[in-house]
Amino acid sequence: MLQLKGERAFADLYASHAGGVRRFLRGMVGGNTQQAEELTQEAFLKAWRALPAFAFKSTMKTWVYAVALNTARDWLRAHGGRRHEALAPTLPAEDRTETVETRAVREALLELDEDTRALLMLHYYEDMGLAEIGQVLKVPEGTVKSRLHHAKSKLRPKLIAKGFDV
Amino acid sequence: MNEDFDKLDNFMRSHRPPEAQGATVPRLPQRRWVWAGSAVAALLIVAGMQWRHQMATHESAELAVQDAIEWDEFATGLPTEVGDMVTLAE
Repeated sequence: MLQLKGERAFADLYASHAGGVRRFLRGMVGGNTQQAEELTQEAFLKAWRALPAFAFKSTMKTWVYAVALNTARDWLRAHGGRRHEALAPTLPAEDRTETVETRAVREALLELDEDTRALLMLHYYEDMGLAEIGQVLKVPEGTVKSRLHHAKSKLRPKLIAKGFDV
Repeated sequence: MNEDFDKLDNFMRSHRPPEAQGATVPRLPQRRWVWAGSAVAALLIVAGMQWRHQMATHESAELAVQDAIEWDEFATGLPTEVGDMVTLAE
């Protein structure tokens, strides 16, 4: 019965958050869809194995994003040389709604370190509030606020350098 | 921390890269697949029922033809006149 409940909880977790996690990981690896899919599967496999130890110190959403972020970090560090240039997007043709602006956003994000990139993506594209981001990054809300400010200060000049008035 | 990031925030949210797009909650696509799967299953069931009906009809037709052939064979040896029948009975 407990095992069945755990399976149901995991199925709900996957149904609710796999899309968002996949999107987040695609952004972390610069748009490489295949790599993001592999990392998504790896992240949920880790989450499944760690589910019995989940202590409810955060929501399941932020917990699974934390697992995904660690998975992305491990992969990026293992491929340390493969950063900006090699993380080329491999989007399906129908998704290639690329504009000059979106390309600039991707490039600017990829020029940042992965922690800063993750913070900005959680803030802008996963619509997480400070408290949620704090749970993902395992830092207090006040720390998230100051880190976010610092991250935006690092991002802005990169977009200005690309010719955008931000 | 007095720096104003409104313009930056608007820009980032307005120009989401394609890889950062997509359904926030994947439940709808999954439900679409559930409905599609159910529709396919229903079609298969109906098709199966129609096939069985056709097979039963075909079998009935085959049996009817066989019956007709057997009756013909049987009837071929039968007398055709009443008198013949009487003679046969005697």
